[in-house]
Formats: sequence, C-alpha cells, structure tokens
Amino acid sequence: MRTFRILFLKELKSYFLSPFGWLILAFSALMQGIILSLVLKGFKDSPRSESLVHQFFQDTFFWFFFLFLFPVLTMRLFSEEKRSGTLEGLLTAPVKIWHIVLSKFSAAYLCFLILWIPSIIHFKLFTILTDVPAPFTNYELIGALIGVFLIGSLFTSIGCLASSLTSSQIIAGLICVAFLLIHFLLGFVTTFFGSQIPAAPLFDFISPQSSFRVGSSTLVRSFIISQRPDSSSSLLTIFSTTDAGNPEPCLTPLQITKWPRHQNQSNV
Amino acid sequence: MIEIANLSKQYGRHTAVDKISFEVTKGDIVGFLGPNGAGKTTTLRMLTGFLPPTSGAGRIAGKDIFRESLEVRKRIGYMPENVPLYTDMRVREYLRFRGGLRGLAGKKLKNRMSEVMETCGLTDVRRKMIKTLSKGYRQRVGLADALIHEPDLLILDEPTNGLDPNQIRAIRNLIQNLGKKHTILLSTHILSEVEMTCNKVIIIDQGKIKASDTPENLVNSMRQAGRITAELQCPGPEAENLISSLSEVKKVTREALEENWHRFTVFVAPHTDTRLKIGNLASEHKWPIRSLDRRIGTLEEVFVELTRKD
Repeated sequence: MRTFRILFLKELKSYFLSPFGWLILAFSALMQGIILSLVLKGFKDSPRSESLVHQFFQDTFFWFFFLFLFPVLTMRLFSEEKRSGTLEGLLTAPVKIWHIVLSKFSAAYLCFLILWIPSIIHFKLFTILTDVPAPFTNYELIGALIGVFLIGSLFTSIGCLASSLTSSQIIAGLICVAFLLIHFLLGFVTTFFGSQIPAAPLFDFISPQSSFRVGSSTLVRSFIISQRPDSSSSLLTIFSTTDAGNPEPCLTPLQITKWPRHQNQSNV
Repeated sequence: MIEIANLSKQYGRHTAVDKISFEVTKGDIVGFLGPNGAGKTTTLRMLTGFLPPTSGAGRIAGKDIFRESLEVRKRIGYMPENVPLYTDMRVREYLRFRGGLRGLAGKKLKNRMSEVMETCGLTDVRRKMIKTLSKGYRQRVGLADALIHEPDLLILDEPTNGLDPNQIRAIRNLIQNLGKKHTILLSTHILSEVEMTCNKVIIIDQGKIKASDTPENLVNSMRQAGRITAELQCPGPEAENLISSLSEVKKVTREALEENWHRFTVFVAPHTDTRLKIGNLASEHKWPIRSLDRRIGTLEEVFVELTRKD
C-alpha cells in the first residue's frame, strides 16, 4: 500500500505541480460555464419539462467537451514513461504492476473528479444568486454526478489502455478519442435506423448517453419514490413514470433575473 | 551471486541471446563486453526482470529471477542504458521517490539520500531540476538511484556512455570504490575501462559467450601474446636453425639488418616464455643481443580476435 501511495502522489504531482492540470481545470470550468449558460438561455426561450441538470448533461456541447477531456487527461500516463524509458526503471524496482496501473488510473480519475467542482459550484450558485427556485432537485444533481463519475471511470480506463498501447502521446490520444467516439456514436444507431431494428436494445444498452439519461433520472427518482410511504410497488412506478412522461410538475420558463445594480455603480 | 543457466531470449525469429550460462561470485567486478547488438542489454534486462526470458533459468542471490522477481529486484540496483530519469523532478525529490519505492522511509531514507548524494557528488545540485543537469550529472543521479537501497548487486548498462574523458574517469573511480562493497556487473564496449576496473571479463557476441576469464588470463592466452622479437648479431641461418629447434617454438622468421645484425620473430605456444632460452643460446655462442622482448597483447586485441566476423 505504501508503494501505491508513493506512486499515486507522484502521478498527482505531475498533474498539479505543473501548468497542465490547472489548464485543464480552467478549460473545463470555462466549458461548463458556457454550456450552462447556453442551456439557461434555452430555458428562457421556451418552456422545458426536464430539469436544468438533465438539459445540461444532454447538451451536444457537453458531450464533445466531455469526450475530449479523457485523451488529454490520460494520454501521457504510460506512453510518456515508455518514450523516455523510465518505465524500465519503474518495472525493475520492487513494485507490483497493479500498483503502477492502479496509481496512474486513480490519479487521472481523481483529477477528473476535481474537474467537476466548478460545475457543482455553478449549479449551487444558481439558487444563491437568483430568487427563483432551482429548476432541479438535489437528487437529480447527485444522480447526474454519479452517472458522470461512473462513465468517467470507464472512459479513464479506456484512456489508460490507449496510453499503454503506444509510446507516442499523440497516437495514444487519438486511439482514446477513437474508442470514445465509436462508443458514443453507437448510441446514435437507433436514431438513424429506428428503434425497430432487432439490436436496438443492445445499442441503447451500450450507448453512454442513453444509460446516462435513464440511470441519472430513474435511479435517484426511484430511490425517492421508494422512500415514499404510499409506493407499494416502487419498481413498477419507476417504469411507468419514465415511460409515461414526467410525473413531476413541469417547470415554467424561467425569468432570468438581472443582477441588482448598485446605485453608486452607475455613477462611476 | 549470479548463476545463469542456458538463458535464451528470442524476438520473433531473431535470437538475441542464445543459451548463455555464467556465474558471478560475490565481490567481483565483472565486465560484460560485446559489440553493438551482441545481446548485452537483453541479458541485463532479463536479469533485472524487465524482460522475461524465452527459456533457461537464472538466480540472483539465491532467488529465481523469474518466479521471485520482486525479491530479486529488492536486491539489485540497476542503471539502464542512457539513464532514463523523470526530468521534471528535482534530484532530491527523485531520489526520495526511488528510495521510497525500494521500501526506505523516514530517517533511514534521509540518511541514505545524503550518503548516496555524497558518494556520487550530487550534494551541490540536489535542488536542481534533472532536466537542467548535464549528461555526466544525470549519469551520477542514475548511479545514486541504483545505490540508494544498498543493493547486493549493481547492474550498470554502459555507465560511461556519452561522457567526456574527465567524466569517464570520475565514474570509473566511483565504480572502483563501489566495487569494494558491492558485486558489480557492468556492460560496456570501452575496453580500457574493463582493463582498469574489472577483475573478470565476459565477452559475448551474437548472443553467445565467447570468453569468460580474468583480463590477464585472456591476454595471456591469445595468439598474439606468444610472439617474441629478438635482435642478435650472429650468423643468420645457423641461429635461425638453433632457435627453431627449441621445444615450444612454432615458427621463426628472420630479417637481415645492417652489419650482421638479424631480427628474429619467434612464434611460441601460449602460456610459455622462451626469452630466457633465447638469451642463454645467445650467450653460449657469444652473440651480442640488443633487444629481446615479448609482445604484450591488449584486451582490445583479444576482443577483436574473439568477435571478428570471419
């Protein structure tokens, strides 16, 4: 465990004791901000039945930003060690291989988790800064984040695999993007060929965005429903609720409240 | 310390190392010699557990290199070829990291770090980033890394590769000092280095061991070593016959010089010295001698002789 800790700290340092990790953090905070404001603009324009959190994580922009995050985070991990030859030093030290792999994965994954702090703050700011009730529940936010974290761990491990296949960072990044895009686009098979094809449930199952949608909305909601005393058959309720549309009251279009301007500000 | 039996490594169809066997006893400084592509690095990588052998077995300090790789790796300090280092770490940070991986901690780690930095002359650069260091200093960092856990066996792959003569001398002195405490296996193709530092030489070519002995024995047993030149003032043909009738002599050539002087080149069997007999012969016949010497071979000639492609 000690060797794991040493290796893990070393990897984490290489993210955050260099501009690299901070650049990604800044970039992702910016992207999350842009996506959130685009989604809010959509809310302003037309009424939406789904919550803000759902809109945010369904956004096309979100997925493209999300898919390109992983190659950037993981491409360096193994390929750089291979290229510079330090892998030889690492593998000839008394270290088990799973220590090395797990430490690199966990460091990349932790870095990925940290990237969501700005997003959580953005969502929380909404309720603090506006006097409108939040167009989402905390459960939805938690459900969505659990979904993001689970998909993130899958994608991080794909990135680690891609990085270990080659000694060039660029090629590792490209392999990772290719894997993730194929995985992502498989979800659109049912959109193109209709949901009548025999393999449609399979593609729906593979597709990250549909599992995300189903998982983040139903899981948490079913948890809430099952907590209610009046739900006798919670499982049935989940499916009926998701299939028959949203049982929760629809959200009215938002009035985006402007910042209250101070008197002295206009004087300056 | 090292026992290797029939170790082989194949890359696809190419056989890099072909059933080599050798032993290294504790306290030896062994030079592992061979031309480029002879299989030196592959052998060392198999010993350190970086590459699995295709067949054969090996033990280091009584532990199987394949089955007890982790135990073996605890006992060796390995400096790979070209000394790969994490260039954006500082020297002290790097040594702390590597020492930690080897299971050192706390006060022990601190003491070992200052000791190896002292031995390798790194104390002045301990706060510098490794990427700002020169090749010679990087080599020292690599050596300090290999030494930090006080290994029983040091394996150095071309430790003086790419250094200037002063740096080579410094590293060589360092290795000689280390040899007092550690068993060292170093690969190189610089022969003078081996002659100066090693007490055993293994010459490998095309994956096979060509010779394994002390440098002195290797030099003595070579063909060139049995050549004596003598310059005598004597009747040429008579002296030539007398010399060639001596027991160990294989062949004599004569070259006439000025005023009845003759230069004889005498080829004798290895491990013999015929100079005394030639001297006695000359004094019996009252022939003046002006030179009589035996050709002393160098390790370079041994190396060339053993690894020649013809």
